[in-house]
Amino acid sequence: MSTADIATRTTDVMTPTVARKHRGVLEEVWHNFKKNRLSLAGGVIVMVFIVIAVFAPLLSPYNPVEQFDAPPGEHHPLPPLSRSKEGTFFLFGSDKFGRDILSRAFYGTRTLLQIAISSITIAFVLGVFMGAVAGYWKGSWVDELIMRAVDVMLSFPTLVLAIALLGAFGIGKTHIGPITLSNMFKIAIVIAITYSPRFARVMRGVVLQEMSEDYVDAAKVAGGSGWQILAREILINTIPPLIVQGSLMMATTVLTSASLSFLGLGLQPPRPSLGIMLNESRDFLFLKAWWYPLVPGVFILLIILGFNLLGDGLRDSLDPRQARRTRG
Amino acid sequence: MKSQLLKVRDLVTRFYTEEGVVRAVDGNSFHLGAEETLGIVGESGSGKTVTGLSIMGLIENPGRVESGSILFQGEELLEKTPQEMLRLRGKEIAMVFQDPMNSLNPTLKVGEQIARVLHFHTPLSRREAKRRVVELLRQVEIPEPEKRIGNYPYQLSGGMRQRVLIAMAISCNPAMLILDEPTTALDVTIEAQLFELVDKLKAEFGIGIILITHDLAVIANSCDRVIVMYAGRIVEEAPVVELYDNPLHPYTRGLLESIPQLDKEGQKRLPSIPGEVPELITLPKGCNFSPRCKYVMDRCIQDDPPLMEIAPGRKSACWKAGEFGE
Repeated sequence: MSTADIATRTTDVMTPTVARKHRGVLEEVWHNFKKNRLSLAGGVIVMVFIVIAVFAPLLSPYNPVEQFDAPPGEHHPLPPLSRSKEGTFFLFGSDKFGRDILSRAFYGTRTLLQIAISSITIAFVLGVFMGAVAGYWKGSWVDELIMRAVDVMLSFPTLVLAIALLGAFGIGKTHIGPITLSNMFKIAIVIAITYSPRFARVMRGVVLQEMSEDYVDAAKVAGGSGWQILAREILINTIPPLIVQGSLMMATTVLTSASLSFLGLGLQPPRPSLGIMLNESRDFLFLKAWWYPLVPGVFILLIILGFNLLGDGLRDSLDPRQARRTRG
Repeated sequence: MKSQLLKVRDLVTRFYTEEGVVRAVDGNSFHLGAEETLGIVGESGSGKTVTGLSIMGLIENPGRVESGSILFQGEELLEKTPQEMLRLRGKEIAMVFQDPMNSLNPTLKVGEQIARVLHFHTPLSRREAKRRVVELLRQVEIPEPEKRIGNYPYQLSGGMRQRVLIAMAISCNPAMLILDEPTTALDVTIEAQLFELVDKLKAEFGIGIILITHDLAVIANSCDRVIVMYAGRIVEEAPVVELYDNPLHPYTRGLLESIPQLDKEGQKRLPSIPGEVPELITLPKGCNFSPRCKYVMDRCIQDDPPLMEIAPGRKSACWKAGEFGE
């Protein structure tokens, strides 16, 4: 080993301890996160798709539901880089109704992420609450009640449960008294219900782990009530694993909501949806219209890949101890 | 005689585990006066901490305080509702645990953590609480308290953290403080400083202190009276000086003999007590200490000796206690 090697090694060892004093929590996390190229790539992918979702109206070249005519002698779907009779340019080709696939994919990303983010938020709140209560009052009847319900829900395959719930709710708007649930919000709620048990389980485990820490006993001795200790002492320590779980679960909710659309139970045409686009493209697979399923397929793939990489990266950077363990 | 702050009578705490019933605290009685420091000494698993937690009302499943009475300032703690105990804990009775490294929440600033205890029990506003926190940190002799309140626990040393915990404990001016092996995780110089601090606080605020430890040196330096526990029972109770001069129970004798002494020449090997602490599930029929006792006689194996008053202020649970006094 050369002296230069030793020098760099020494600084490597020294930096964290010296730097830690000056760095905030978020900076520390970022410092760990950016070391991993893959998770950084995941973050970039996720950012790109969020930008697409937010600015879909600005980025899309055409209205996603507008139909154009095929030039004489040709018919839809038109391949990439072709023009319609009106002269509009289809970068990724057109679909069977003569709509621009790129615009539909942008809007489809928008609806997909809307559903995924709102459902994950609802699932997060529901699941964290259930898990926290079950974990803190471990062994009580509340714990039994919540966790057995969770067991029942987890024994269904996610998609099957979601299909059953959507079947019960019906497609389209639902009126519950004075409240009207839009189709999209309903889908989000259904997905949230199917995913909240997973958050509940994770949360319960994390709370149990924190409960064995001495600071919880110290808080009890200081006269904190159960809710006070749970909300003020324990919750903040459960955030890192929950963030990781949330971002990994985003990937699966994206898949579930795309699957529901694919099966015709999600958003209804003509609303742009990546799942519907995939479904429609099935009829053209043998007509060599390869671009038709490819574009929504690749969009879904990249979104899920992005969230998975991001989740892995967050796990490594939020809990360095666990990262070292998993890497061996 | 000083006023009685705490009076525990025939306290029985048991844990119902799958292996059997653990008799963690087995019919113990003791008392504590205001401005008094009572040491509870014994090996690991002798029921010291469970005694403390029983007083705090924090025995959890599968454990239970079975019977007995805990009178605190004349009020029966065992008859209080959980809500009443909640108001008492941290306000009237405070407790400090042995491990200062883990007893602070790692994700909260120490100032917030102390303020939290104030928030549990007092209607102080945010700003008043902050002022009080600074004042408390000054009382426990932490330098630059204004700066320290913004620190996270990992930025403090072990001794500092223990001071912070003591600040938390005294924040609501408790009448009684239970210190559970407060210095086990600290080194000796810090330990000495800490007990100086505890003595100062005791004199200043008239707190009654129960000091739980397995370290006889700590007891000798800072206690007025000592209780020796063995396998869930009190085996000896005595004023601290008398205990060291003339222990009246073979177990205490064994403990004291096993302290290394520099002035004893020619001592080759440190004496120890043979055998092990019995399982609390399967206690022997007679005296709990009989299997390890070198003074054992037939009666010890048949009859369980109760805690008997041998001389004023001196109690021992040994049939031969009277003979040791001579």
